[in-house]
Amino acid sequence: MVFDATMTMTRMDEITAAAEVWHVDADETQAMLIDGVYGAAEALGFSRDGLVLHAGQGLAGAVLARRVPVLLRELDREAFEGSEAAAASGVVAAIGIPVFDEEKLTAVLVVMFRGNPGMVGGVELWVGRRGRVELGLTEAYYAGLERFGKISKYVNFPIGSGLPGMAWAIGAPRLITGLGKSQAFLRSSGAESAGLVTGFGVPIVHRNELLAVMLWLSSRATPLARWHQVWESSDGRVESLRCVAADGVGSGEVKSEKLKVKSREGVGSGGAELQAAITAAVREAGQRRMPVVFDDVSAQGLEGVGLGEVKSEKLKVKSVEGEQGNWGGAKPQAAGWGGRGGRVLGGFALPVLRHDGVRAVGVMAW
Amino acid sequence: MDRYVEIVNLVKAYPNPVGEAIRVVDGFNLNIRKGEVVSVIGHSGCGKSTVLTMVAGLNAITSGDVVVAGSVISGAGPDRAVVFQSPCLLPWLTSFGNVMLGVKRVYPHATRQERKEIVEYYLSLVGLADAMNKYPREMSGGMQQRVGIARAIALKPKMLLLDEPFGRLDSLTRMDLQDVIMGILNREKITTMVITHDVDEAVYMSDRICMMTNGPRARVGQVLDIPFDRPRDRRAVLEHELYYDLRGCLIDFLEKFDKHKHVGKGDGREGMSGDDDVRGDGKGVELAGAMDMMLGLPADDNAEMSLKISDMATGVVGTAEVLSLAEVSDGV
Ligand SMILES: Nc1ncnc2c1ncn2[C@@H]1O[C@H](COP(=O)(O)OP(=O)(O)OP(=O)(O)O)[C@@H](O)[C@H]1O
Ligand SMILES: [Mg+2]
Repeated sequence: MVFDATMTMTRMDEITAAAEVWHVDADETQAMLIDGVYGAAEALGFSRDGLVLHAGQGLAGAVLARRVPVLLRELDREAFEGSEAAAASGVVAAIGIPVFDEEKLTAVLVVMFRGNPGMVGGVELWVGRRGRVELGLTEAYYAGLERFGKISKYVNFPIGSGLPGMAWAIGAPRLITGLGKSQAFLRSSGAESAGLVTGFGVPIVHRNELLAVMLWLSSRATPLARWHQVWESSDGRVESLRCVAADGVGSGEVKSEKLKVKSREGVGSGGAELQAAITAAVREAGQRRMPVVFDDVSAQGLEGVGLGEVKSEKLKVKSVEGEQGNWGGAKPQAAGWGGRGGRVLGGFALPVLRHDGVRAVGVMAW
Repeated sequence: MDRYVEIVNLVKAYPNPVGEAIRVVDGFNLNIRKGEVVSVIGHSGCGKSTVLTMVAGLNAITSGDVVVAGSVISGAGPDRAVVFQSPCLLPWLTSFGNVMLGVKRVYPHATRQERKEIVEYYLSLVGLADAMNKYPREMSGGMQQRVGIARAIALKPKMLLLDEPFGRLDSLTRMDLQDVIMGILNREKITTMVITHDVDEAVYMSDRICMMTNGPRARVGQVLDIPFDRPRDRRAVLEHELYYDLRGCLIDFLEKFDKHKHVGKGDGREGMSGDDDVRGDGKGVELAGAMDMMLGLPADDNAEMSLKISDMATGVVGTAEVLSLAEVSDGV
């Protein structure tokens, strides 16, 4: 491979550094790393090959022992296995998410994050507090969101309210784009001043009980994920999974009908190859009842997607008008795509299971 | 004690002009810890008073439950004392007499001397040691409201319910009374729900602020924790590094639900609030009825009194029910 300085820079500039799927053995005593995507951090990937952790050991082991999501804002040797290799790839924080199939904890999804100066984004865990009927913020990793984070820990959402409350109420992932102007995102003015544009909330459930809602908050310049999709199944069957919400590079919600329009035109939430990869990952996640990771997918067809609201009518206008359309901050980002070689560095499909099938699958890709 | 008060799925439906039941409040949920002060804010007409009067037991609950200290409430009782915007004092009794009404009810076995001391204690708590023998007409609105507060607290309630208690007062008097209440709450640690329109008042007084969405179908939209220690000092609160962010959080919420700004947007629960003015007339009717009952004569025989309570019918009904009418004629 030809060494390309700009490319390497760009890739190491992604907040989301890696995602891993850990398989939990039948008696829940150990977790084994079975798949991982590391983007440009290849050394990190090699260093983690074949890892096995016992309950209580490292991040996946902590999730195993506690049976709740665990977010580490600092990766010290105690809490995180292989913290040196992670640090060498710029990783400063990580989250471990349990996936339950009925009573059994079957898998842990681990996602690692960077925190270079200038990055803006956050991951939050919203959990029910003792004696309360609302969700409160228990843990968060913030990059460049000091003020937003400071006030967020005093905010609580009841079921149905705010992004955490909505994900709780529908029992499926929920996507909000255009956070700064959103009616549904109650911390919108904080989001706006911090530069956040997209919020993705994923309920983490054990049977019918909500353990937490995980929120991903992305800025336009340094998004945690460039694509978010929500797939829901009306009857629990994997074949019934349909994409009900998706975004493109950083904003604009797309409803399923509109998605068709978009893919025909070859723009929007990814080129055909990316969409095919996502669809395959979603189905696999539903079938295997496990999280699934994917990477190195072509994002061709993305250049030229605007950051404005992606409504079908507007989309047409946009493709006709080209650069005259509602571009928002798209141009710098479109330029960034060239630097990445037009490839998706990583992504995962995380299922929300129910006893007789799959309720929904949340997809994030960066 | 984390769930000293539990408000569970509270619903209030009123019939609209064509007789359909409209859920003004729909699924209001809130737990309150013992000794906690929770304020409720939301746009005018969203249903704050509806929730508070249901908790007080003065307004029939359509569905849902209110549990106070482990018991489901049924109707009003002296365990939940209410203070409305207008004090609703009985005009023919002095401040001493007005407070004594409640004290008799909750200390039925106390001696005359003991009751007298209790009344004097609560009146001095609100700064009226020198005005015990004044009649309502001889007192300012702020002083009357102090009597109302003393009367409520003298009931030794499990819960104090305040519906815009300072809404009618000028800002200096308002601040004085905020401090009076804060002083009492620091001492007596009464679990309190207070409705206010004033964001600064909410931040200064509360441990938590419950923000309501717009009606119809109003419910809790967001709850903000106020992390300031007690006792609080007004200046220290104002200078706290979080003050403006907390305040901003409330204002953001209110702006988001400002129906004049966002008509027709949102999730369908917003921007469709019922007509605020619908209540005006009905209230007057209720009021007149309640006063008739209390006085045994037409309300308009006492213009001053009807003026005072003219738009706070629930207040009168509340006073009458909480103190129980039988005791009114009993004198002091
Ligand atoms: N008796 C009634 N019959 C029908 N509708 C009523 C009745 N009482 C109140 N309402 C309606 O219920 C809604 C909530 O009223 P409520 O008095 O609880 O509001 P609020 O939040 O206290 O308002 P404000 O801030 O103006 O005091 C209003 O739309 C009002 O018109
Ligand atoms: Mg009111």
